Amino acid sequence: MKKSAMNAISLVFLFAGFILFSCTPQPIKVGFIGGLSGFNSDLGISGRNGVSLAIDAVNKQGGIKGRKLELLVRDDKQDPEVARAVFRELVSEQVVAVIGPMTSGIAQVLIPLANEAQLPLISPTASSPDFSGLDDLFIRVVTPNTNEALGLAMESFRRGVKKPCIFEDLSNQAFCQVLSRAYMAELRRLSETGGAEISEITLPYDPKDPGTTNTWLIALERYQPDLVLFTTNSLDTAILAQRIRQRGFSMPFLGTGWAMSQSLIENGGKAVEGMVFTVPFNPESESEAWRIFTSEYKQAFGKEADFGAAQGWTAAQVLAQALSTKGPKKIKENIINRSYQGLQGPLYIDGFGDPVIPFQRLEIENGRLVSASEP
Amino acid sequence: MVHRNFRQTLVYFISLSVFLPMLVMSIAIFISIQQGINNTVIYRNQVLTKSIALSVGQQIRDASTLLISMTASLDSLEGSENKKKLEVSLLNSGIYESIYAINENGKVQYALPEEGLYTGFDFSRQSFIQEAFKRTSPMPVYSPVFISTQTKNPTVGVAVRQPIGVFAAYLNLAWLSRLSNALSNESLTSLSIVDCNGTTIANSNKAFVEEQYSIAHTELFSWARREREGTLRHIFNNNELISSVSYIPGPDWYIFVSETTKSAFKATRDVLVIGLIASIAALLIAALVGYTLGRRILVSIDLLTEETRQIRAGVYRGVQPKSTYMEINRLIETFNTMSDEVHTREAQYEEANRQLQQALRQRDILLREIHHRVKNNMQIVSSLLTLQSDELVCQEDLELFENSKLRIQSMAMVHEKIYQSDDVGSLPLKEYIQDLVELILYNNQTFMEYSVLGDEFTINLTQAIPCALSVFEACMNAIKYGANEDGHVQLVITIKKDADQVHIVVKDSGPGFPDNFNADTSRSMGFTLMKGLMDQLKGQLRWYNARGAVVEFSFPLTENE
Repeated sequence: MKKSAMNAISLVFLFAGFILFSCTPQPIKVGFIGGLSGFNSDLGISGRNGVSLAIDAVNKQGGIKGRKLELLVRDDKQDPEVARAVFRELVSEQVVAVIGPMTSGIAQVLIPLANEAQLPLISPTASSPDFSGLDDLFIRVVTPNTNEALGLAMESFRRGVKKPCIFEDLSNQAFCQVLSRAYMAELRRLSETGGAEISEITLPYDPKDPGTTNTWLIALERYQPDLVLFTTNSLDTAILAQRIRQRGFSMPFLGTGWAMSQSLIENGGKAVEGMVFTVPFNPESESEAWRIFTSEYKQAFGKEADFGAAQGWTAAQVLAQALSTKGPKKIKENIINRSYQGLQGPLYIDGFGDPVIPFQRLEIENGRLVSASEP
Repeated sequence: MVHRNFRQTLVYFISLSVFLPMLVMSIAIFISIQQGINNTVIYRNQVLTKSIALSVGQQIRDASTLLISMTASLDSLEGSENKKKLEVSLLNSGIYESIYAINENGKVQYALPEEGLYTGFDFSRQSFIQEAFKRTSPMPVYSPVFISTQTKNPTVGVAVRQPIGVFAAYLNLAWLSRLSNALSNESLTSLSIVDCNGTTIANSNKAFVEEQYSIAHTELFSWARREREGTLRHIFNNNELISSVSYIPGPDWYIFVSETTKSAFKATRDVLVIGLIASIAALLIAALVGYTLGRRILVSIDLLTEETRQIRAGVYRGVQPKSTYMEINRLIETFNTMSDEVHTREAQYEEANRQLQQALRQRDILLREIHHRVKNNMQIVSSLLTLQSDELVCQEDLELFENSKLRIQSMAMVHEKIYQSDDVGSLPLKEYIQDLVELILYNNQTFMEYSVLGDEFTINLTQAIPCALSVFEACMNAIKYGANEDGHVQLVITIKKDADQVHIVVKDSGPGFPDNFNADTSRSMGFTLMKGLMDQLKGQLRWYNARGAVVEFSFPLTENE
């Protein structure tokens, strides 16, 4: 027999093994980059949790054409160099797209790399308008923050603000500077019609050097602004707000979507009561999708779903929808110029990868973010 | 009948008696060892998890108890003495990193050690503070673990309700990661501590803690929340792990001791490898021993087979009984005895044969001599008749004498042919008839054309003389009466052997038998002789005309007596 028969049997087993191996669908790798560590990591962690929940949901429904999605999470530590390194790491891992980053400062660093690697970069929350109108591989599910700035300026104008003070986070200037410029420009434009003069003070805030806070508090006492706009993250906003109220100031506060989280409310206490936001997000949305999402999020992570989590979920869903259309090829083409069903309503992503979402005016009231009509 | 191969039988025997029991025993031993090791590993991890859970839980409880006891003795939130007391007992001892005295409005009355920074801060919205305010007794309330902005380490807030307010203290949990690192350094076991929401508090991988890595959505955490204690084998990040869990009530944390199954059951694999190597070595040794033992038997059998072949070829050699097996040696000895016996008998047979051959040769010589003498005697008789015929004057008598002389010569020629032939018992018939016709022609001085056709074969001496005389008579008749009108005789003799029947046809070219000729009533001596001779041979005599006279003899061929 016997050698030839043994060889034949071995070949059959080898072939069967190959067939079985070939039949096992390989997972589709998806990258995530966000600031997950350090003092301002709550947005990144929320975003990652939202993405993770969405990917779990897709996998539970059978994945994309039978292939599971595998999420590779990387921490950019809010450091451009680290962000570059982890992006290259994900490229070498052969991910089909990267969800992230969560801030405009890191997005500014990663967009050239994404274009070079021809890898779609889908940001849940990077809202700098500098990335708008560009035919590149950067796509986002958040409206450029100029719209947010217009809403905040309108809020300030209604309150008759003449001397606003802006805390500008140096770690995320791509977001802060654009927003503050747009805010001031719009406030000036609105105020010009009434003939009012607008003066402005911008206080650069370095989260790595919280010692400067005392200096800025002295500056506030001298300047006596009639409104403070925080373009800082949630925890910094909470502490700054507490410090300002500690000093006896009672001027109204405005915040941005970056800071708008449960951490702000818990750590800010009564100091952040009345803080107003204009964001494409409504925590009190009554949509069924949002209700289910918040419930699942609470069950999975033990805390309330916030803006970052919702945006992360939306970014992952947009990617999953594109993948289910035509697989991992031409993801950008399958994302742009399409409508999606978000957690709180439909959104449309235009040809430049920017979404159009209606803005909400939110206010912290009795320790909760509520949708508030204009006063 | 099935013919089994001795080698195969030997292999089957060794396989069944050695390999199979060895294999079954090895498998049984391996399975029991594997189960023992697996249970030990699982038990070890469970004990480790439980010990760590008890230790961590105790330390957290001790810290909480200290906070409760130290704050219980205070009579008011304020007062430098009180602050000093708290600072010395809770901060300077290194247990807590900061303490906050919170009044009924949820505002920080003072904070230690940075008294000024957080004083006046509103903590009322922090969920664990809210929970503490709801308490009526100083039972500790724990916050979710967070990364401290000051130390960058995982930290838990402990809040206790006292009649004068709420005291919250931040407990640095860096030691948990140190514990995790220490355990991970010792072996490949990984210690993880997660809070009630699945967020990592301690892990040897610092990034997991810093990134507040959540295992909330994993199979492991769902199972841990349900079971709280036990061991689960599961897949995590494409690795197969075995994780034991223990629950810490109070802070509501879970301790996981995880190990890759590859590492956990390494001992099992080692045992398997050692077992396999030992089994293979044992099998090889058994095969070698079996081969050696079998070879010794088979070598002896091969030797005996070869020697048997040699005996067939007539070579007799003794086989030395060198085998270690008594039975084989007995077989070799028996073979040698048998070989000697056969050799002796063969020698005896050869001698008997030689003597027989010699006797045969002597008989042959004797027979030839007898035939020679008979022939010579007949020649003498013939010569005497020739001398006697000289005295005869009557032509008829002369003819009778002449015919008698020819008959004697024809018989003498039979004996001559017999002693000249290789086989003294038989006569080459065709050759004899040819010579006979020549003899007749020579004596009759007759011009005649003849041919002897047919098969060449021999007949025995018993049949030779009657046959020869019959053919002689027929030939004599043909010469006498078979001439055609030209006086020319054409004689054709055909000899044929058909099975065991001999046919001899003598045909001439003459006018044939007269119409009134009847051999049975004829007084011709020739026909009388021919009939008598054919009766002697138990044959038949036929005669008829066919463009000449035809005489046909047929008789059965008999073996030499």
